[in-house]
Amino acid sequence: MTIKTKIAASSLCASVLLLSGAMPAFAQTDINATVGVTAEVGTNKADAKAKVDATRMDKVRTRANQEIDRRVSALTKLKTRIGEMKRITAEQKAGLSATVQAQIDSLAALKVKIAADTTIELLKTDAQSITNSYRIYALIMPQITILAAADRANELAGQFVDLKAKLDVRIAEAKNAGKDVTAVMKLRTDMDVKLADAKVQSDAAVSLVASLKPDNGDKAKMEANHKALMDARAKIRTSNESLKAARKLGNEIVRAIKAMKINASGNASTTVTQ
Amino acid sequence: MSNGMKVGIVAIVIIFLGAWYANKDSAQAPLDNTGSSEQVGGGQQYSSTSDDSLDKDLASIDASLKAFDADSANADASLSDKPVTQGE
Repeated sequence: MTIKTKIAASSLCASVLLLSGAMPAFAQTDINATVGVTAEVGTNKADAKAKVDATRMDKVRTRANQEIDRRVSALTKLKTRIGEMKRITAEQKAGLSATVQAQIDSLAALKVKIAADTTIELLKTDAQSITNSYRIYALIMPQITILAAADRANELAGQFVDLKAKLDVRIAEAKNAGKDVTAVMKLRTDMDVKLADAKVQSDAAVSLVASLKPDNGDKAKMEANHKALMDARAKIRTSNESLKAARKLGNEIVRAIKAMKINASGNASTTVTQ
Repeated sequence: MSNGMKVGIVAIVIIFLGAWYANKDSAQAPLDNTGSSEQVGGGQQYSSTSDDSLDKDLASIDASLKAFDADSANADASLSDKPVTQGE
């Protein structure tokens, strides 16, 4: 081996040794870079997921609050209407108010829970419970509005009792004065028929809905409740129409009496019901 | 006639007049009916039957019928209620 060859071989060995020492360093540098990038990507993904979750939670929370507010508003109005009912006992009134208040309280508690939910899973479960509780709301709202309408029909019946007593006095006075009251008497009888029908219908509506209970997921019971509510609703409508017809007849009687020009001298006596 | 007797007679006359006046007022009460009605003992209510009173009754019934319409509309609305869909 010549000196030149020896030098070349030594250089080659040195280069190999140098390069072999440097390789792990290069390799280490690559691994570190990869871990760094992966960590960065992971953090970005987590941030993105958190952002997506926050947006989803906002949406779910907004919808849930809308529904809760809508129901609480309707229930509050209903409670006011219960307070105005006149033909039910104080005990019945208190019972209806308590039913409505329990729903309002339950929704208010749910709203607080929804505001405090920290995960989308918890929030979705709570939002779902709004849907589940809808069956109770969907029963008591029409049930109590129908009872309130029937109460109004009864209140009107009381007002008609006063009017009828006065009309009877005036018709008797006209008859005593020699007037022909045949047509007026016919109108008066028709008025009684309409008032009796209004009472039958509103009483039947009350009977249909007064004892309805939430279905608790029982489909057959849900359908039976719905049918009872629809039937009661139809009866309230008929009661309303009969009372309007009675009002029209009352107006015709008053006009006929006025046309007879008999001075009213008597007083009508009615029994006051408390 | 002694003064004592005169005073006694005057007192009796005054008592009779007072009793007559009081009796006259209570007898007129149910008829003296310028308002629409007046409630007396026994749960009986006496009401004027004048044209004005009849008109007032009709107006009162109209107001209640209007309220009944509102009740009826509330019943319709409650039966056709739809919940806000929950979820995403």
